[in-house]
Amino acid sequence: MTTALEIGQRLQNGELCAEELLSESLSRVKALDKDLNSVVGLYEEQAFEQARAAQKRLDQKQPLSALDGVPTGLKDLLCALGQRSAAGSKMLGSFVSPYDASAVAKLRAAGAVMPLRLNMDEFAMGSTTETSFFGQTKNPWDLARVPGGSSGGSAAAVAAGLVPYALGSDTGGSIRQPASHCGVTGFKPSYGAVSRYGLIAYASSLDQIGPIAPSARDCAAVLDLISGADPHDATSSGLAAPTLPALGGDLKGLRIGLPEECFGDGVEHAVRERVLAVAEALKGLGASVERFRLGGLEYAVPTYYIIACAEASSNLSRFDGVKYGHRAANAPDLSSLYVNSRTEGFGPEVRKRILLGTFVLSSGYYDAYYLKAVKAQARIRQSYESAFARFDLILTPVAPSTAPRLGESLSDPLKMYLSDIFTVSVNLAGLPALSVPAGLDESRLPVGAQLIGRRFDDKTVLRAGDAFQRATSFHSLTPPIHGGARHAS
Amino acid sequence: MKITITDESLDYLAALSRLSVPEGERETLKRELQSLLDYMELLDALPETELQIQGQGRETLRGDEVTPSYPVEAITLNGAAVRGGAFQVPQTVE
Repeated sequence: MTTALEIGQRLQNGELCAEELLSESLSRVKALDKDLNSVVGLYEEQAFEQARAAQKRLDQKQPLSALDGVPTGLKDLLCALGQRSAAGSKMLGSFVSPYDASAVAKLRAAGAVMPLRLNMDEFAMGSTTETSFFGQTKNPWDLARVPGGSSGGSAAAVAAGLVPYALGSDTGGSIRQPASHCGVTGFKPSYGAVSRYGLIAYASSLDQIGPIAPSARDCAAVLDLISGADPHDATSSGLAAPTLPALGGDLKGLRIGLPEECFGDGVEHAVRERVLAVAEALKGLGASVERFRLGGLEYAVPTYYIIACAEASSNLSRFDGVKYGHRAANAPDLSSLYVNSRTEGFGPEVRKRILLGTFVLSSGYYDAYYLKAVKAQARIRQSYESAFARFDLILTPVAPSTAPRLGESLSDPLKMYLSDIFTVSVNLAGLPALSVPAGLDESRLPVGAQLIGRRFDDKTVLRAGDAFQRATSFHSLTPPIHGGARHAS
Repeated sequence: MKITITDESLDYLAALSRLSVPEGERETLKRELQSLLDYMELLDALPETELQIQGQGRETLRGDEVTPSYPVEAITLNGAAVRGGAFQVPQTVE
C-alpha cells in the first residue's frame, strides 16, 4: 500500500495531479463502498475546489505541507464547515456544522482535500461500527465481519484504498482497534496533544483525535499537522510534536516491556504469536525486551465504562431538540419536547450509556461507582508510571481476537466491552499508543500490535513503529477488495 | 454493593436522563444494565488507597478577552424552529 507521504511526494514531483487523484479516490468510493458502507457523506464539489487550489500551489512549487493535495476522510464525529457532521446519529442527521474543528482547520490549512465523511458507531459508543444510524460498515478483509469501532469507517476506507489517510478519534481504543481489525496503522496521541475543539464530545477527559494511515510515518506527519496548543481547548498543549524529525535509525538502547497479563488466557493463539513475533523483530532492531507484570489491568474495563458513561450522560445532555439536532413533533410542553426529542434521536446503545452514566453519578451511588472508578484510574496511572520507570515502551496486542462476525458483539454487550481490555487503560492514563499491523491469522484476518509510550513521548512510540515497518512488510498487505490502485496499490 | 435494577429504578433513571424507555426495550435494558452493574462490582476488590485523584489535563486557561464570535444566523442555522434570531420552544409560562 502506497503511503500518504509517498503520494504527497509524487504530487510534489509532478508525477500525480491532485484533481486526478481525487477523481480516482471518488471512483473507488463509487465502486467499493456499496459493499463497505464506510462513507456517510460525500463532498465532491468542495473537494474539487480544494484539489484545484492544491494543484495550483504544487505547480508553483509552493506546497503548504508534505500532504498538500492528498485526499483524506473525516470521522463523522469531527465538525467541518458546511458538512453534515452527524456523529453517526439520527440526532444530528441534519446538522450542518457552522465551523471547523481545530484539527480540521489545521488540515485545511495544510492543503488537505476532504471529500469524505466516514461512518462510526453512534456518538463513538461502540467497538464494531454497527450502532451507526447510517448502517453498519463491513470489514474490507471479510465483508461478513465488523471493521472494529468506533472509527470503523475511517479504518475501512484507508484499508480499501478509498483515501490515503483519515482522521478518527479514540476514547477507549476507537482508533487503534479498528486499525488493527482492518490491517492499517492507527495512532492515539497523548491526551492533550490535539485540540478536541469541534470533536463532538463523548467522554471529554478521554477523547483524543488521531490519524489512521498505511504507516507510522504517515501518522507522525499527520500528528505534526494537527497537534498543538489551542485557546479553544484548555487541555491542549504543544508538548507532543514534532515527531517526524525523530523517526529513523535503529532501536538500540530502547527498553520494551511485555505485560504478562496481556499474553495469557483469553487472547487468541494467533494474536499472541503475531505480537510476540513483533517483540522479536523489535529485539532484532536493537531494543531490549522483557516480560513484567503491569498490575491493575483487571480494573480497567469497569473503570473506563463508569467514567466514560458518566461523562457521556453529562455531555449528551446538550441535545434537547432546541438549538440543533432532532426535534420531536407536536410536543405539548418543554419537558415533553426534551424527552421525546432525545428518545427518538438517540439509538439504543447511546440511551443505555446515558442511563448507566446517570446511575453512577446519581445521589447514593456516586461514591460506590464514580468515585471508586476515579480512584481505580489513579491506580492504573500509577501502574504505568512504575512501568515507565523501567521501560521506554510497552508492547501488547490491540485486541484479544481478530475482527468478530457482524452481529456477534451486539448480542452480548458485556463481551464487546471486555474486548476493549488492552486499549481502555491507555486512555485512562492519557498515554500515546500506536496500532501496527502484525500479520494475518489463519483466516487471513489482520492482527494488530500496540506500542504504548510515556505521556507526551509520542515520538518514541512512532519511532519504534516506523523502525518496525521499515524492517517488515505487514503494513503493506492489502485486503482482497483493495485490488490495487495507482495511489494506493 | 449489590444493586438491582427494577422497573421503578429504571423509570427514575430515565426521568433524570430526560429519556423514556420504549416498552419493547424495557426487559432487555434492565437485563443489560444489571449485567454491567454486576460486572462493575469488580471494583469492590480494589484496596483502599491514599491515591491522589488527578485530572487528565495540564489546563491552560486563555486570557479573559473579548474575541469575535459566530454571527447569530450561523448559530441558529440548525435550529428546527427559529424566529427573529431566537429558538422557539413550547410555551413555558401561562
